Amino acid sequence: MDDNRRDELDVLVERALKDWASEKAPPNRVWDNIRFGLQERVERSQSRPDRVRQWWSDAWLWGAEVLASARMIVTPSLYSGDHAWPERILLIGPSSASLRLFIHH
Amino acid sequence: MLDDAELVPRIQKGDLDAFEALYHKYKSELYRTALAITRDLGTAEELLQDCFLRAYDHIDSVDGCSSLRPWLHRIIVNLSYNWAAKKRLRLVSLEDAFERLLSLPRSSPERALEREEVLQVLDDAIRSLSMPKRVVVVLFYLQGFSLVEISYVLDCPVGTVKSRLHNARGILKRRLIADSRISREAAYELLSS
Repeated sequence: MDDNRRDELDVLVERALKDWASEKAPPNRVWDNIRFGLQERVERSQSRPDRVRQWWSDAWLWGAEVLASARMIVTPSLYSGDHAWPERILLIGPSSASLRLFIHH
Repeated sequence: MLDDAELVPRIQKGDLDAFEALYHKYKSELYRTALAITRDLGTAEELLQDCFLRAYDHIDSVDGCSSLRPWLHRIIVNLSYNWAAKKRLRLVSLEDAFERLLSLPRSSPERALEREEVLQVLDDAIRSLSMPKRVVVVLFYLQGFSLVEISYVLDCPVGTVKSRLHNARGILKRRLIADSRISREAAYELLSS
């Protein structure tokens, strides 16, 4: 159908819909709900870096706790060689422990 | 009223006042679209709310040069389709309502329909259309979108929009005017009022 070609049926349909819809407007509570949803989103996005920082802090604490409970110390290896830094980490048990764990090769 | 091109960059920077201005600019027509499709006040409110929350979430994908009107309608129509998919039984029952309407005796005093009744009958006929046809009719007649704009809103070819509109008009014509519950006189009276 051509946009510009309208007969009486088109006019009637348009009239019926527009008359029916003319007085209808959304209540104020819709915007209140939207604003509430937006505030939640903003708070969530603002607190994201805080949550990441908290996660890392928890992870470090947890790791330290594990090492402490195993009575182990983490120290850079003297035998650094050509290895990348994670491989140079040396886990050393307490002086009395027989455990000497070298992650590096 | 502020232009969309001014509002979009502000909203993209997190300006909630600009977003509120956008809401007040489009709330009524989007609400009417949702209401004309769903015919349920509560659902129309929910769809309007979801539409703007979704718009806020995806505002970064808008270039800000063109009007947001078709884009917002695209969102609310998609939400309406999702709603209809969950409420299929309810839509079928609207067909029954139309059948009831058709069963009114032709020679009854109701035959002499007043303006309000004519429009009411038409309104019921539109409501009885299938979801895809009803959506096209609402966007075309109520919101005045062009066929090309409707094809964007529905994400389908213009030919499909044309065919749906053509079929919808055919159905309305057959069921209403050909049924002669709305006499030509009543239609002309309405047109000249």
